[in-house]
Amino acid sequence: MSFYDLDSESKLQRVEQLVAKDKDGVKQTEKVSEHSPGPVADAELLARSLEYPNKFTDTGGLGETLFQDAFTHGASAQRLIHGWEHHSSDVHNRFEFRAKNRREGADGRSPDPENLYIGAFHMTAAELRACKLDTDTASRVRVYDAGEDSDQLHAEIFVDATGLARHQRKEMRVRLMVLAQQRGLFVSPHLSAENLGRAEGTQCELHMPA
Amino acid sequence: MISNSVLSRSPAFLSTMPMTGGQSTATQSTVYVVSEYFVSTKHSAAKSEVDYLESPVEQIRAQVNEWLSRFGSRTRVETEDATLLLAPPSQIPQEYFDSYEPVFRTVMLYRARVSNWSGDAADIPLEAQKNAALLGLANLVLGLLPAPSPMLLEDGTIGAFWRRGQCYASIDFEVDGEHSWAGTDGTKFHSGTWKVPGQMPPELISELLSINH
Repeated sequence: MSFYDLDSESKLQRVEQLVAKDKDGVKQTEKVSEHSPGPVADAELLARSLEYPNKFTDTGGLGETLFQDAFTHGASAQRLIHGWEHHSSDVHNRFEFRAKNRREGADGRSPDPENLYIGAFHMTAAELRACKLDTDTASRVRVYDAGEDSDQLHAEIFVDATGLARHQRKEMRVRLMVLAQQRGLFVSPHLSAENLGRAEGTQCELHMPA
Repeated sequence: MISNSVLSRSPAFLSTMPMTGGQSTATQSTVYVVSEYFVSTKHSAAKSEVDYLESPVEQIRAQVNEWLSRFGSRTRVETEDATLLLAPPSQIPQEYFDSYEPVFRTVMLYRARVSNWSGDAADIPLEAQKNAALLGLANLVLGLLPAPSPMLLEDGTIGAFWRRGQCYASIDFEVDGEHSWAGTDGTKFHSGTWKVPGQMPPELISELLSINH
């Protein structure tokens, strides 16, 4: 039985169900995916994709919607075990492949022609796990290994929002957004020149592809 | 006569308000400021005691109503008890209203656009969520706040945010009128609730001022 197995009868969101299985977060130090190389170490860097338009629209800059799925079904990230330079090409290609599937409509989903992979943000697992409210000492952000057969370095980020007021949940979203943008946006090499404005519209520091 | 409302001079507030459409500080310092708030006509407390023949607020109400109707909304706005500071309509130039037009338009289009998204897309906003956003935005107009960018949250709640570099502030327009807000300069974080009808929290005003100045 996998950590990621869900109770289909439950009315709880996926993240709520999984957090309930690991209330103290100790499973973050265990290997919970049979396909992963192991638990996500604190020092590991992770990449989080920025996609238009379902995580970002280029009117007004990067917003807190970047991490809102971490409260519901889980926020995907790619582990950069050997650093960005080593994994950058593979990560960009994976994120672009996912966007392409969404544009064309794959896995029974209707096509989303506007979907665009813009670039990736970086953060370490330790930074994510240390992300807290000033008035709340609980460790709310979890990072688990979530390797799949076709993607062994997949990770998932959850926020345990149990007991938080709405404005506190909101502040957590904002804190995660600020954390993500701190190293700047690593722009996708697949982004066309005509769409470069989408990256510029984030108001983040841009790292252009070599 | 405006009962249950505050009619007062408040030069300090307006002189620090951002983007008031090119008003000079001298002009701002002499305007009368009226506190009002928009609420839905469906709201149980929507009965207004404002004498519209005397109230400059009514002119803004009509202007915003006409403006909203252009987007096909059935939402109407009514004045209620004193909360938000408001300048007379003559002090609000058309350009200021126009700056909000794309925001309103996006909110109106969310229902259509989301149905085309897939994967991590948000829920389609309910009518009540859309109306909460329209009313919330209308109140930002009355607060003379600069036009924000809209955002759609996963549960269909519509929000608005402002960003300048590392400075960021946002509001979620909740159906129950208890709007959550948060702000940051990139290092310090603040959050709270703006309960409407009710005065915008000073901390939120401070965050917005820091972004727009």
